[in-house]
Amino acid sequence: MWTGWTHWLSSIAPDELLLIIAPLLCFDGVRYCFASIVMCLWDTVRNLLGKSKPSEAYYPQVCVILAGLNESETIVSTLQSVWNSYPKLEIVVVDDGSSDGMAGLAREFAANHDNVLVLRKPNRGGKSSALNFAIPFTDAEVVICVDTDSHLESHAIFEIVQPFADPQVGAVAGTVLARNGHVNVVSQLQAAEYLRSIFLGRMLTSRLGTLGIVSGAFGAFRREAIMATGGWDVGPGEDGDLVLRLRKAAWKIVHAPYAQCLTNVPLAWKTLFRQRRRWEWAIVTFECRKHVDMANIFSPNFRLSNLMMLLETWVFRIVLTFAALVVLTWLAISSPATFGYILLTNYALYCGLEFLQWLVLMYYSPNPRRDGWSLACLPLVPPYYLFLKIASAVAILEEFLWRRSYDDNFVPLHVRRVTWHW
Amino acid sequence: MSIDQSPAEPTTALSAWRLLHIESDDVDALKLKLTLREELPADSKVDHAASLDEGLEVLHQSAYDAILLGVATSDTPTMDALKHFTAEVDDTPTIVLSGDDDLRAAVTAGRNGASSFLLKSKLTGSQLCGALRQALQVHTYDGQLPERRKEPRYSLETAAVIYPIDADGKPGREIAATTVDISESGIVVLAEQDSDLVPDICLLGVQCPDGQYRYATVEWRHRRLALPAIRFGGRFLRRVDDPLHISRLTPRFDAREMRFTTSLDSAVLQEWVARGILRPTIVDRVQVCPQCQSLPTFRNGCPQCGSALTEQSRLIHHFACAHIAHAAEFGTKSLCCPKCRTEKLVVGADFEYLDGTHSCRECEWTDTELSQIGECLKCGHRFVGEDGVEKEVFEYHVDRLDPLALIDRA
Repeated sequence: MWTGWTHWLSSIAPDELLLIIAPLLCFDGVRYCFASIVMCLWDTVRNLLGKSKPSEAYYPQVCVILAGLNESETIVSTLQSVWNSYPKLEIVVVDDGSSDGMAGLAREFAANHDNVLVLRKPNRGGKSSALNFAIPFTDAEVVICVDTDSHLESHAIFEIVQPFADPQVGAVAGTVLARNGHVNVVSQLQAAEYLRSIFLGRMLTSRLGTLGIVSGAFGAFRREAIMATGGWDVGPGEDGDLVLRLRKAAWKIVHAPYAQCLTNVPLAWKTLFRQRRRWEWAIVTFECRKHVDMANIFSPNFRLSNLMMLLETWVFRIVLTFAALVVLTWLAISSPATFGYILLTNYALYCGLEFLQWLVLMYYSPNPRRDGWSLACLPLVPPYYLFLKIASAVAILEEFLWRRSYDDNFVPLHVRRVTWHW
Repeated sequence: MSIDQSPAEPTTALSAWRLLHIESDDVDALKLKLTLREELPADSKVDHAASLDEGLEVLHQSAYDAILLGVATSDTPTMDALKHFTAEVDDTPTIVLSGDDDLRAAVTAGRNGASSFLLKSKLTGSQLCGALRQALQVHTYDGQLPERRKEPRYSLETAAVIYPIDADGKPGREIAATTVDISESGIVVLAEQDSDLVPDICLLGVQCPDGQYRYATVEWRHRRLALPAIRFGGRFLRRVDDPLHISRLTPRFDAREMRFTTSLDSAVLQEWVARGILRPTIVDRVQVCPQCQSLPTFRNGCPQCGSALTEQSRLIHHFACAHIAHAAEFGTKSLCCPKCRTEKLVVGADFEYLDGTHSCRECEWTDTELSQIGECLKCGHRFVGEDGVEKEVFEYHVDRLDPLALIDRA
């Protein structure tokens, strides 16, 4: 097979090659790979010139909001990881109507620790309302949202507040990494993906000024910006929605790659598929419907970076997703005899690109020993990304056609019934 | 300890008996004296008269508890004399002791007023004492007996301890004693102690058959010399007369001092506890004022100044846009969401109320949670609940002596 593949490769013309690797070009990996290599070279030059100046000189008052539903198993360990990790810190735990005693455990913790406030909503109202509920109870300059099943790395809060020294910054995205990455193949692949797409990918989009997401698991917001935009809207995808509204209001969104938070990732293909569907629904709901006015060049709030961000989403995350699947299908039908070689070619090239990206990751990683193992996942990454593309395509299609996000129980029924269906 | 059960019969007297034995036969008189020597209560006295006339003469001179009348035969002249004699000594129970086992003598004796009839030949000390007791009881029911002889007494010999009770209620130096007899309402003990050192009211501990000491408060009524000891006779104190009555050992709420107290001073109680007589038992734990130890009231209030005058703001959660803000921001008449401008909101369908922050009207404090504040009902001191002092409320128990239980055993 190896000989056959090399013979087949040597026999094809350059224009044919472009067609053969079309599926590969439709994947995010290519652009991210080349862009991150450029970024890496750029930073190397800057470091050599001594222009890089990381600092931890900014210390605003910070409020960490831990909003959750039935998270009694993890709330205490999360509180322990957050408490006392920053000098001017207050913690607000919001129990969104849990029935497992989450608020009670948090209150026990609060009784023995200063500056911990526990709020309990009598009825479940969804994550957005839980986050909004905390806002009237704090005067802190910066509000940080942390998922109740997450664990903050040391210095994470110091890192995430530094960009707020710039008064135009409205939100800062932290880096979310997998906490249970070594459990099985599913979690290992996700851990490797998080390192590439969140740690490296957001570093890149942040520099390009097109960062359009701040993870709900770990993200910081200027309280003034939240108040001005009215806080979180009803989800799912409320974290991305708020960021888009902040962008409309001309706030800068940046990424703090070294503000790292470990969170639990799904351990089964089925739950992973469901999670990604929910994430991808938000692309249609917000980028294609609710905030499509960001592309209106006649709008008074129009900004080119916002248009670029929308275009990137539309082209790379919607059009090319379907294009990749269509091209793959077409190739399978039109050239069934050589389809195996085509897949092998794409696979080999993708692995090569992934390896380059791994090298970049090692360049930026604060802990290469922790992150270096992701190279072992490399052979499985291309099929894993194909799986994600399929999940994405399914989600986008069903959201476009049936607005499935409004049937999801992520938001309680009484809220879904009265909220706007974009 | 031992309770003498076999020879001892219940006696009817608090102290010794005074008996008159009328017997013409000197041998019979001596035999009876020997028979009774071991049976009668201590200090009992048996006087002897040789004839009925002499007996009547003695009876006119001094009082007796009972008369033992010995008759030689049941012949008619003797019976007539007996009838005359019993008519003369109607007040005093008479037991006829006959040498004849003829039933007629017994019937005649009964008709002529004798309390009982016994045969000299089969006479035993216990039998005679039983007859005497019965005779004296009959008189009790008739209302003829002196007051001190109203209640039956039972001999009881066991170890006892006398604890003198001082004027301030504290226990004095303990005195070893031995019980002599007991009734439902009184007890007699022997103690080798100077009588003056034993006050009128003492706590008496009696060793019961199970080996445990049980206690009763006794008021000594008489003290007699019974060398080498002193014989103390007294009655059990009940109710309010008892310095260790349960009402003095149980905590009561003193509304003037706003605290739980016992009638006896705690120092006195501790003395009794130290002697192992009182057992403290926790009946409750109460939070008291850290300043004056009186009881406070507890309610939620301002943790800064302790005031109960606080008010809580109300928030509105608008479901459609997830906005949460103070109710005032939604307007007063027709509610309108300040974020999404939706109007005419309906509670339940469109929004829900949530609890906001508390603020104090007496100081500048504002926070999300009130604290539990104690306010002393005596001195008015305000303090945060966790600063309150937890105090244990004790009641005291003493193992009470149950005379009836000992009597049953006796």
